[in-house]
Amino acid sequence: MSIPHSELIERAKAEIRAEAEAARSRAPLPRIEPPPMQATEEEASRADGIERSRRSYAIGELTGTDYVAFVDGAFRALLKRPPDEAAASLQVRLLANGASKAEVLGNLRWSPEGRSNGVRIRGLLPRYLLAKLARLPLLGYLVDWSLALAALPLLLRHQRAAGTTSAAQFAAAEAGRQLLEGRLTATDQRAQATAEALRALEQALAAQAEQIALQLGQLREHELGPLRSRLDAAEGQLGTCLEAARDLAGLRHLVNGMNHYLASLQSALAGIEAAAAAEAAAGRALQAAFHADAAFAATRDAQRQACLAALAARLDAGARVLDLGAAGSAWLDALQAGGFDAFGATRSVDDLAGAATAVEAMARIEAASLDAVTLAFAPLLADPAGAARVLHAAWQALKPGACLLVRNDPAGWPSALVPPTPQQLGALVVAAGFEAPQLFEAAVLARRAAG
Amino acid sequence: MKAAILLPTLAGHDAVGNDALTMAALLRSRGITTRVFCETAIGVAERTSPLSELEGFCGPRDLLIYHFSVGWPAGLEALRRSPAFRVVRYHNITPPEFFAGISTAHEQACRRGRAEVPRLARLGCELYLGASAYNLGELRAEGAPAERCAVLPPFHRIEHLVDAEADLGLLDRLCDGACNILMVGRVAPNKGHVELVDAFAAFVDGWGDPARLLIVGKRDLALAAYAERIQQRIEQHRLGARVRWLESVNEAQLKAAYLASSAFMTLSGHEGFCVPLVEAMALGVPVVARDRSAIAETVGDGGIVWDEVDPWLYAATLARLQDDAALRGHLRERAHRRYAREFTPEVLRQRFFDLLDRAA
Repeated sequence: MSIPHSELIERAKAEIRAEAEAARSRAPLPRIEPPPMQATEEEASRADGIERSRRSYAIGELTGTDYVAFVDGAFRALLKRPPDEAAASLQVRLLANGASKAEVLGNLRWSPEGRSNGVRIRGLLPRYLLAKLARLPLLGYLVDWSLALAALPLLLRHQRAAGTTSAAQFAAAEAGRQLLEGRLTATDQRAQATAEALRALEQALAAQAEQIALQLGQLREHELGPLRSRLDAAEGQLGTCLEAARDLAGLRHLVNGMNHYLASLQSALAGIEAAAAAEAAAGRALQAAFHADAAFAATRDAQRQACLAALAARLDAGARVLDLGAAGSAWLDALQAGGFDAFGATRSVDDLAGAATAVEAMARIEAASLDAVTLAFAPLLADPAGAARVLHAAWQALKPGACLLVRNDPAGWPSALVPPTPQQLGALVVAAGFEAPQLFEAAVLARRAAG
Repeated sequence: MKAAILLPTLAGHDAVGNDALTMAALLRSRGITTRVFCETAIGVAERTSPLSELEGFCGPRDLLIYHFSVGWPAGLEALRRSPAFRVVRYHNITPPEFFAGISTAHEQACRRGRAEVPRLARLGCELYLGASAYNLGELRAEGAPAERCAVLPPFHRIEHLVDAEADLGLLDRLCDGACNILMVGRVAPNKGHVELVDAFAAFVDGWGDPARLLIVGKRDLALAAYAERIQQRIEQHRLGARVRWLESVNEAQLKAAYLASSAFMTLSGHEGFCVPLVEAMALGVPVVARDRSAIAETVGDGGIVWDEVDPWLYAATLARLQDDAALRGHLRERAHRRYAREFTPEVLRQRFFDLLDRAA
């Protein structure tokens, strides 16, 4: 809970009072001077030239100057401050209207501020009073007259003295005038000489200016020629650049057109690929349907029988026959059933790997040991080199005059390829060194030539 | 309606001048044509008019505010003759006894001024504004009607001082490890400088050095005897350079003096209000003062006031304020609240217009 203010203060005051009593009876603590301040404000304030502690002046100390300087000095001496503008101009106006310096000094001294400062000026009071008395409307006029009359002898002496002083000053002034005139003449001569020099300088400058203008013109011609050529060249380059820019625009148009064409081509190719895929699919479907067709099976069996009959017509029973690519097939079974010593090598020669296998298999067979070789590798036609190697291997394994039967069995024919015609097969075997090809509907029977 | 402010001397940087100029500015802010009439103007930009023009300016429907702080028969006579709505602003006049043996001129001037108080109180003016209740008490004691009396603290420039940038050079010189005790006020015999020096000497003897007494205030050449008396007392206590006179300070230097001081102390014997007390309160400097005239009324609960003159009491108070941060903080807070409640320019402006409106 906070203590009320009055109670807090009363309590503190009681404690302070007790502490004061205790301190009063204690011995004073040792004194430690605070560090001296670097500069006092009094010293700074005196920098304005006001003698603040001075309280007495003689009139002559203050009247030695005139006009504004006199008013300024009077303010600083009597009021201990610089004059403010309004007050200074008022006192200056008084002086201009014929007031005496004593009157101005008195005005300041006996103003409220002047009274407060209380600066003493010896002999000022009677002069100030007389000056003020002379300001009274009628009495002042009489006072002025009285003072003037009373001061007449003094004024006469002053006038005589002034006359002497004036004569002396006139002589001094005349001497001064002559001196000044001499100086003026010399100055005038110097001025004339200076004017002449200036005119000469002006002419020289004008000539230099003309020369500079001429040089500038030449410089312009000299510099302008190459600049103009460079400008022309630059203009030509600029034209080329603009032309190139126009070409560039045409090129951009062409590229855009090509892009468009390529995009169209890409789209067309995609369409063709799609159509080919669809066609292949249709072919496969057709082939499947064909294989499944009973008529197709009958045709195939008839072809086989025709081939067997052709072989049987040329071979003896028990002739050694190799069937390439059809091991375990229905055709091999038919050969064996036809009385031939038939055997198979490789299951298929439908592709390059099969062809290589067939060549490898026949390489293990003794040369000129077979009476007949049958093969249904029409697919090898897709690879003429492979077909040539297989036919050559068969040629080597066959006895001279032995038979080669190449069957074009549609069952093993890849759907993506168009089956060869018997004429094509005939040309192929002839090229491989066989002769007298006999063409059947789906096969070629040829004889190994001798040699 | 027009308004005239009347005073014998208008000075830019004294309490009466500030009060008069602020009143003129406030009246103008209400659209009232206002002129200041005086005999002498010192260091002010205000364009003033001579007393002789007052009669032609101020009519029955106009306002005349007479700032009374010094005897001025011409002003009193002008006030007596004026048909305007007359307001007497009483700043108080120092009792002449303070100047006895120091300055006969001041003594007589104060006596003349004091002699005008009864006449002024009985002049039947429409409103009497005392800078403090103490001032108003003097007027009422002389016959001023209670219903026409009101207290209005003087307008001041404390807000400018609070906002002013301190003179950092002076601040550095003062913040040298010494405990600074501050007194602000012109060097005049009613301000209690001699007693202040006694109290400061007791503080140095009882609670230690280094300490410094800063006396800020203009010295009056006519009161050189008083300054001499203070100087003798300083030498008697062997205080030497511990007492620093800052005679002609500007606002920045005054701010620096307040900021560098641990306490503001005055043992003044007579004050009609004492603006420096409020400056100290506004700037958060703890106040230690002697209860005389309007001082206790101005300080209120914002400081510690003693009725006695015992220097050891004041010295012990300074020591207590040095050591007791809680008490220091409490007084500072009270002082700030009191300033905000009673003395801010806005509060004074409102009170001024309220009093004028009510009286009108």
